[in-house]
Amino acid sequence: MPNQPTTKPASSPLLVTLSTLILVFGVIGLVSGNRQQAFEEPRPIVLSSHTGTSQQQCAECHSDITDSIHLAPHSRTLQRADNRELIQRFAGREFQHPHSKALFRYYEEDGKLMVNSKAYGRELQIDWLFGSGTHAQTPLIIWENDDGTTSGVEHSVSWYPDGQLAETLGSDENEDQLGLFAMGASRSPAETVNCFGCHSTSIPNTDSRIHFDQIEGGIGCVRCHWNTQDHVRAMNAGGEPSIESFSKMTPIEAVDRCGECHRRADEMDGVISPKDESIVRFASVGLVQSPCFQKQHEVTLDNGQPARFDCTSCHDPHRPTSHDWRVHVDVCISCHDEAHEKAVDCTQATREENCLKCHMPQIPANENLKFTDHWIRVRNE
Amino acid sequence: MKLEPEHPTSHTPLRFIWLVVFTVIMCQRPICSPNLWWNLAHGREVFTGSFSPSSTLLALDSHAEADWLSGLPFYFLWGIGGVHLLAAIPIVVGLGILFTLQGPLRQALGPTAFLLSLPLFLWSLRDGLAPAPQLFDIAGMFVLWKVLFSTHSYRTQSIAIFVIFLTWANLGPTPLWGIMLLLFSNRLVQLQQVKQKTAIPLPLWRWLLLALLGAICTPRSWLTWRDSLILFSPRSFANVERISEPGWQAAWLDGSWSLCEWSLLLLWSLWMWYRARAWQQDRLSNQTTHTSSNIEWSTIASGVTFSTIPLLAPLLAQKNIPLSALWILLDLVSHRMPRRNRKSNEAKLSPIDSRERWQFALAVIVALVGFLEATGLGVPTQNRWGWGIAREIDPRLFNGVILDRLEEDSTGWAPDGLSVGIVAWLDGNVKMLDHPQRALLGGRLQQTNLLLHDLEGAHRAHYRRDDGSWGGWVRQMADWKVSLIVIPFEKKTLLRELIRSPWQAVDLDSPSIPFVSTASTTTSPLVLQSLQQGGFVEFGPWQATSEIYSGIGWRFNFLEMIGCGIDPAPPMIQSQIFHAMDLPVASLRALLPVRTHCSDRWLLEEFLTVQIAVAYQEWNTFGTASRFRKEVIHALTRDASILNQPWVRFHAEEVDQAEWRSCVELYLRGDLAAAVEKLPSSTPSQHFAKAMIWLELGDCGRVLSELDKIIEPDRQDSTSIAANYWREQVEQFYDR
Repeated sequence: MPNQPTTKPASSPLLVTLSTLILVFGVIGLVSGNRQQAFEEPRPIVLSSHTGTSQQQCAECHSDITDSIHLAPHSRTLQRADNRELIQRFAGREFQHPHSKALFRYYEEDGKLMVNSKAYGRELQIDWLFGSGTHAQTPLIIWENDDGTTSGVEHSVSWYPDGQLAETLGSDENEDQLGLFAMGASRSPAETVNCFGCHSTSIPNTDSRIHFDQIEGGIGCVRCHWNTQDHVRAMNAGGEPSIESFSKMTPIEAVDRCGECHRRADEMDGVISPKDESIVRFASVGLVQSPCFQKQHEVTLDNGQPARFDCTSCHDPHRPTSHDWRVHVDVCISCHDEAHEKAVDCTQATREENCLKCHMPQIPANENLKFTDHWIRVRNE
Repeated sequence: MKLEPEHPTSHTPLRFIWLVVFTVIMCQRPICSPNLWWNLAHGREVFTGSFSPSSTLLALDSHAEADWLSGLPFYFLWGIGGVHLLAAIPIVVGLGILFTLQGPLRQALGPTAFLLSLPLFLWSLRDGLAPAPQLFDIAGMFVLWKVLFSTHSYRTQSIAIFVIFLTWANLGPTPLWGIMLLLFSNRLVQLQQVKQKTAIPLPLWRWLLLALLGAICTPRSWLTWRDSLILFSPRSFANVERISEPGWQAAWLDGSWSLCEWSLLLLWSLWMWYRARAWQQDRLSNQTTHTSSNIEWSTIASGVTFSTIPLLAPLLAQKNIPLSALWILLDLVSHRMPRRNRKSNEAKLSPIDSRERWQFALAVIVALVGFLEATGLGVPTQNRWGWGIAREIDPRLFNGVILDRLEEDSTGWAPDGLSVGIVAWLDGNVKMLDHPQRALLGGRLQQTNLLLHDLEGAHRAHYRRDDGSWGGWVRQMADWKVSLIVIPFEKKTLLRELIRSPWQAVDLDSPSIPFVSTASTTTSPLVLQSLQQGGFVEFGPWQATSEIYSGIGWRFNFLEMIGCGIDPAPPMIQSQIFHAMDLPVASLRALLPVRTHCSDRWLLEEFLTVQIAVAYQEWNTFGTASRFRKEVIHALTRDASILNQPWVRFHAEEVDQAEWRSCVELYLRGDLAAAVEKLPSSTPSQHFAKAMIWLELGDCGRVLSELDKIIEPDRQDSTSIAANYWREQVEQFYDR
């Protein structure tokens, strides 16, 4: 480089421009880097921080459903143990667990339901009852950890519709147990959130801390219909109905939607076998194993449409389940009609008889609880 | 424009010896770079003929990479000298830089400020000296600076710049630093030229073009620059909060600052102060010589930009700290020093000017802190002065058997570079899915984030998210055919949830914990073995000894070797691993060998954390925490937020502490046998305390003997419930 004497450092316009650009982009990058919430992750619907559609908004147009949804068990899947009727199901009673041998005493104190046992070192408050009471109601005992998260215990004693207190399903493993193991099944913070997740419409939370006072218990519209905000926006703008409808899904999609809480076949560990009696507890797992489900596309209905079989074929989630077997058998014979070139007829019974007795029997899970086996099949046993 | 010391003094040999000793003390630590094994595996792939090593090593990566050669030099060194040659890299590079720059730096700053800046510089630079690709960024920037200041012809310089960028881009991740240095090369060179009363506008456009062209001569082509920008500021392109990749977080933005963050900030402040003085001197000088002192706005803009880069870059990513420190240093040595200082330097480097004595005292203090930091005696550190490879990245602790037991071409998933690197380096039957850095560059980091969210949230089932996408980790893992999940021990929430799933750990020592599905018959014996080991270290007659923490030829702690106590870092890491695996008593046992010799603050914090975990476990499992555990926690801390927790708070009847005091004191000192002796045997809680102390010592016979004294058929309180529980557990591992 030739040296040219001068008295003043040269300044390059290019240098200045580029320097300033670096500074500007640096600051922009810094700001965007600091705003990690710009990369906010999507969350489960029930934990979503986005404002959902309220039940009242749904009622404006769908009062035929919302007016009666309180009758459906789905609307009562989670209840606070703070009203007298619910408290009385436990308070003033004792129950000795047949397996752990622990004796539990339930009582009311300052309007709260409490439980104590010599098997555990302190009395515990019961804040929440899980289950609609159609089959059972199980207390979930919760407490806050030092990091603000919540742990829980699924109590080993449940209330059953016949008014009895009895062991909770699955607590028969608590043989001669003491301590927390006698009280019930321990749930980690994430599992506790998931317990509430399947029994609620919305769980407001911040940094994994549940805001219990704002929980919207029970299964409301937005829990199953996921695009309600778009739907409301479209209807307000005078557009076409856009609500996500179960009938528009494929049968497996529809069953898996229910299976998000009732268990899905693809999340079962190991081989799914009819010998596994636990499957009877998970209707959505059993149903998709059924030949009726798997071969539905082979049947064409009288109206020329292909047959459609999923959970909603028999269960209207907005209403209580019918206990009249004829209602369900009508669904069976809508496909099983050999005379009209549909699915085969039963060789053991007439079309007027109750199919469910043989093909969907009630299987006792314990002394107080029976489940209908939704793995519809010809049983050889 | 040679940058040789202008005033060699008679002190030179001494200064050099001092410099070597000081650099060794400051820089020499066991390597703890989490991506070491990934880089070595990377290098091995290139060595065996791969041009795209990441896509060979990872199932989800199909793109070429710019810095594909980054692992090759380290792999060669590993092949020649193993751990020890790799461990020598920081000191060799550190000394190389310092020996080259110390003369000009001393000239520029004067002796006192030189001493003051040196430890700050080394602390800031230290992480970048590890055998990792960033070392090539440091080397690239340094060599580029040398070329810019060389006296070679324009043609030679141009060729050199092209070659530098070509080499840099193929070896180092962020040649972008080189472009920034080039942009300011005019400024730096002019500073030197001003000394010589000359100024030559450099052919910047042409050099920039050559640099840009040089750097695209990689398998990644022009995307080299895109990758470099992303790696320069990962947070600007993806959510990295959940990813435990070192250096991706922003510096100074969280509550606790690391030593290198403090150092860089102080170094920057020192730099600013000197530059302000220099500017003031210039103005005075210009006034004296009646030279025009008009300052162009462009000069101010470039000056501000140049000065803020070392602050902005670490704010974008902590891993930019070493390069920021080098940036400052290069400017300091290029800078014309304040005239007053120069005069004083010319006058003599010693004795010290009385006005600078306070600076000298400060330098001594900083150097002393540096020494104490190295020893871990005064400043808490998890990486004391030593040699070799730190325990937290030692792949020999990983249960490698699992990699051979799994079927050929199995797939593994891990959220961090260390775990991915260990599995890749051990080269078993498992191919890992992704590496965080490759995921970041390939736009797959969000996928990793969501999977981590599902694992931490125990979202096993398939579920829909509020953006319409689908979550649920069981199906995702099944889709990828994952048969091995490796989780770093720091991810405690994730581990807590995973051990409650059908996936179980098959290792209890490794900082990267492998999990396999219990549904697999090939690996279930290993799961069973691991569960038994877990029970043994928690309930059985196991006692940790200092031998289990030795590096077995791969790690040497200099202080330990001269009898200054056991390095607390390995036991702390083991304790944290046990804690993460929900084995709190094993955590206490792991800490025992160092508790008697060490009062390191972090060790005490870990000890307190484990004590709280045990208290919480007792409170949760039995109804109340034991009296002994509460006494210990109250003796360890005065933090009200801890003491007010229900599992730590004393009951009304637990007021008399006199008979517990001496026992707890001895226990905290690590003299457990004496602690048992000091405690009376009058109450069930005292028997329980003795049982728990014996358990910590691994003496199961005495544990059972003490527990038997508590258990009575008709009594059921939390102490007897706890005693029953512990007796049942201990009896599984100890025959009376």
